[in-house]
Amino acid sequence: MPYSVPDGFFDRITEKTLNEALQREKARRKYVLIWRSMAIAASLTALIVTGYLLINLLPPGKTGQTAQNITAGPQNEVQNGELGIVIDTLLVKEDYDNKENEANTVNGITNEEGIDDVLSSLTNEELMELAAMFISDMFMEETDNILQ
Amino acid sequence: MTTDRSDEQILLLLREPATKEKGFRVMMDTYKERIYWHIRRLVVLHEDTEDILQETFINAYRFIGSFNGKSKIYTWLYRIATNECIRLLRNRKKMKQNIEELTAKHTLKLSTTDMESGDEILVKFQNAILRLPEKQRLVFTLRYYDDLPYEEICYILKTSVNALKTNYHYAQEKIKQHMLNS
Repeated sequence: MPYSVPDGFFDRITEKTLNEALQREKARRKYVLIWRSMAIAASLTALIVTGYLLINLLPPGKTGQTAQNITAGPQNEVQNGELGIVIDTLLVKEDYDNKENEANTVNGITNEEGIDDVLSSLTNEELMELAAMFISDMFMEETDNILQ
Repeated sequence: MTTDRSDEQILLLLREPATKEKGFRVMMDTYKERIYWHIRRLVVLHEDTEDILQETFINAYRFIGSFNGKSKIYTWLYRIATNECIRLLRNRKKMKQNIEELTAKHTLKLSTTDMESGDEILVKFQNAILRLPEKQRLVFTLRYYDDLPYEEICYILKTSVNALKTNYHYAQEKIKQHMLNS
């Protein structure tokens, strides 16, 4: 062959190649380890973020339902659904009570004070005027019903 | 194609973690010269040959688990080495964009620094091989120098026997013409 090879090349090449192979193997293992760790960390982060979003960002009824589903398991599906409805109902009822209280308060006087207290605080003249208004005003009767 | 006794011993050593390094040494000592010359004939330069030789055995060390033992170890090594050579030659082509320039460079290298005295005919012959198209060059080198049967060349180059025979025939004709004309 018209080629020349440096002296001692074939004596050295085996050890040189083996060292290179071992170094690469070591580096590859390290790389795989780092890659796996990163994959696990990414999966855990994704799980935590998903859990956070499920618990905090869904509407209250759905959250209650989902939280119950996660803790109680699939056999309690009907009960969990009912719980969500109960929570919704309680919220609507509370809202309704607030509105009713507002309606029962007329000019700062609540229904709980009682009509007798209001009448006792009036003078005789005022009472007479009130009686006259009651006879002449056709809407007075409706107002009275509302107050009662 | 079956695995012979020495191949079995090498494989046993390589597949055991405790003896893997010893197995690698035995494999390299057995085949390094043969594989070196195969690579050298294809890429010409010693530096490139050394890199590819190392790459070949490192890949063999890494992927020994995927070697099924249906072919001989040297055939498998030839395949890895040939693929590495093809990759290098194609990268060179991309960089140089001119195969003539590349061949001229190799020819010059061959006829100056690497030539041993009194080898003019061999240099001419080697120049003729370097001027062949990639496929013909591979087939001719494997068949003529390494004396491999067509079945093994099929495994190395992933082509049919008929295609190999045709390529070999064309390569022979071109080399004859080059030798007569120059």
